[in-house]
Amino acid sequence: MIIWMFVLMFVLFILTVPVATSLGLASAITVFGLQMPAGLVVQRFFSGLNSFTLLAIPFFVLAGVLMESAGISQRIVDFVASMVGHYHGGLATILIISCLFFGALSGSAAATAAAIGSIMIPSMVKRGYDVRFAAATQASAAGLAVIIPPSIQMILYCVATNVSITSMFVAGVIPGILLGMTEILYAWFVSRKNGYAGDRKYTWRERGQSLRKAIWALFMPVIILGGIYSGIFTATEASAVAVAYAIFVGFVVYRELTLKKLLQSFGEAVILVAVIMFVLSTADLFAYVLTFVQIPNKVANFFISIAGNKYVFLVLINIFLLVVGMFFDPGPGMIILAPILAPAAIALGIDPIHFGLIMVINFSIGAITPPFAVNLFVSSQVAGIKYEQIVRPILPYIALLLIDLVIISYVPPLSLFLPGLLG
Amino acid sequence: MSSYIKCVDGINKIIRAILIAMFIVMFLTAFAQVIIRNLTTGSIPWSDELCRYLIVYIVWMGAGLAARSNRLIRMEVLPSLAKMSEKNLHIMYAVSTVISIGFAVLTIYCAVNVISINYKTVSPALQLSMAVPYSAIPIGCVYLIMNMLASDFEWLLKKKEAEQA
Repeated sequence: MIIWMFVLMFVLFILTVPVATSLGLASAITVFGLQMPAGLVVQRFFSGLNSFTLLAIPFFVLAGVLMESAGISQRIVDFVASMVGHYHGGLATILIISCLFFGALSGSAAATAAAIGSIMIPSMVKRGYDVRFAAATQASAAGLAVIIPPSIQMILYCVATNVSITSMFVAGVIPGILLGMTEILYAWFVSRKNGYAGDRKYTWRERGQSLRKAIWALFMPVIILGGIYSGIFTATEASAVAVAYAIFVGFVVYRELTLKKLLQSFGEAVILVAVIMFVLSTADLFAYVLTFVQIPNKVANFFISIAGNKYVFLVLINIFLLVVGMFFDPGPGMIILAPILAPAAIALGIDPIHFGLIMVINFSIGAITPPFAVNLFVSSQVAGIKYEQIVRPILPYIALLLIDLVIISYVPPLSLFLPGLLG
Repeated sequence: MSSYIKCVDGINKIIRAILIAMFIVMFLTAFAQVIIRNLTTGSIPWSDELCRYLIVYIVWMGAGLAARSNRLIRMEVLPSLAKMSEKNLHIMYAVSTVISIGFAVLTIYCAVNVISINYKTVSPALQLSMAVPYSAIPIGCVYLIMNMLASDFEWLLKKKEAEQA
C-alpha cells in the first residue's frame, strides 16, 4: 500500500501536478486504502499549519519583502560596495555578501536570485565580467541564503523534528561563513585571473557616510538574531519584531515606504507564504501516514543495517540528498524527508542539529546542480543567457561547496560548538 | 470563457484584499503580544489562536491566488528534460488541473465529514465554532480549482486568438 503511495506521488510530481496537491492526494487515497477515518485528512491539513512556531515563516517572509521595498536592501548593498568594491572581483563579492544578508529572509533561493541578480548581474557585465560567470556566481550565492539564519529551511526542519530553532539558527553561523568565504575566495581568484578590476577605492569619509546610511539596515539582523540568541524573543516573536522594525525604518528613517508599497508588500508576502505553507499543510498528512505505518523506523533500521556506523551513513545520505535536491525544491524536499531521515540519523548517534544543517546544505547545493537546477534556471533567465551556458561556470562552485559539505559533515564541532555555548 | 476569466479575476481582487487585511491583523496581534508580554506581566490570551486560524485562511486561499499566476511549486523536470513545446506543456498543465480537481473533491468530502462532527466544539480562547477555521480548507479547494481553470482557459483563448490572427 505504502509503495503505491510513493509511486502515485511520483507520477503526480512528474505530471507537473503542484507538489502540495500531489502530496495531499496520494496521502488521502492511502488513508482510504488503510481504512483510516476520512476526517483525518482534513484534520492533518489543518494541524500542519496550526502551530505558533510556524508563524515565524509568514513574518520572516514579509520582513524579507519589506527590506526590499523599504530600501533596506539597497543600503546594505551600498555599504558593502563602499567597503570591498575596490578589490579584484569586488562586484562578485558584493553580490555574494548581499545574498548572504537578506536572501535568508526571503526564504526562497530562487526569489533571491531574481531580486539581487537583476541589480547585480547587469552592473557586473558593464564592468567587463563574463556574463556566464556572473550568473553562476549569483546562482551559487542565492543557494547560500538558506544556510545563514534566519532561514525558512531550518524552521521547516525544526518543526518536523522538534529541534530548537534557536540552536539550529546558531549552528548555521560558522558553516554559513565557511561556505560564503569559499565562494568569495573562488570569485576573487577567477576575477584576478581574468582581470575583472574593482571599482575605485572609496575614502574613509565616504565609507563613514554609507555606514551612517546603512546603520539602521545593518541593525536589523542584530535585533533579530541578538533577540533570539539572548533569549529575549522566541523565533516567532523575533520575526514579528523584524516586520515592525522594517516598517518603522521604511516609513520614518528612509522614507521610501508608502502606504501603497506597504500593502503591495503584504500582498506579495501572502502569495509567497501560501506557496511555501500549502506544501507544509498537505505534507503533514503525508508524514502522519508514514509514521502510522512506521516508515521512519524502517528507514532507520535499513540504514543501520547497510551503513552500520554514522560515517558510512553520512556518505550515503549526502549522496542521496544531493540527488533528491537536484530534482526537488528545497522547501518541499525538507518537509518530506526530514521526518523520515532524522530518526535514522539520531539512531546512529548524529546530533539532530548537525544533521539538519547537513540536510539544508545538501538541498542548497542540489538546487545548483545540473541537469535540473532551479537556481540555475532563474539565474540564467535573469542574466538573459541560455541555461546551457551557465552549466560550465557553475561546476567549480559545486565542487568547492561539496568539499565544504564533506568538512561540515565530518567535523561536527563546526556546527555544534556555538549551540553548545548557548547551553 | 473570457467572461469566466473576468469573473475569477474580479473575485481574486476581493480575496487578495481580504487576505492582506488578515495578514495585517495577524501581524498587529502578534506584535502587540510581544510588546505586552515583554513590558507588562499580562498577555493577550486569544492572540496565539487568532494568528493560527488566520494563517490557515491565508495559506488555503492564497494557494488559489498563487495558482492564477502559476506560482505554485510544481516539478518541471519532465517538460524541461523532454524540451516540451509550449502546447504540450499546457496540455500537461490541463491534466494536472483535472488531477487537482480530484484532490479538491476528496478534500471537500473529508472536510464535510470533520465539520459535521466538530461544528459544535468551540475553540478554547476565541469561543469560535471549530467549523470556522476548518472551513478555510474546503473553501480554499474550490477557490484553487477556480483559479487553475482560469489559467488553463486563458491559455486556450490566447492560442485561439493567435490562430485567428
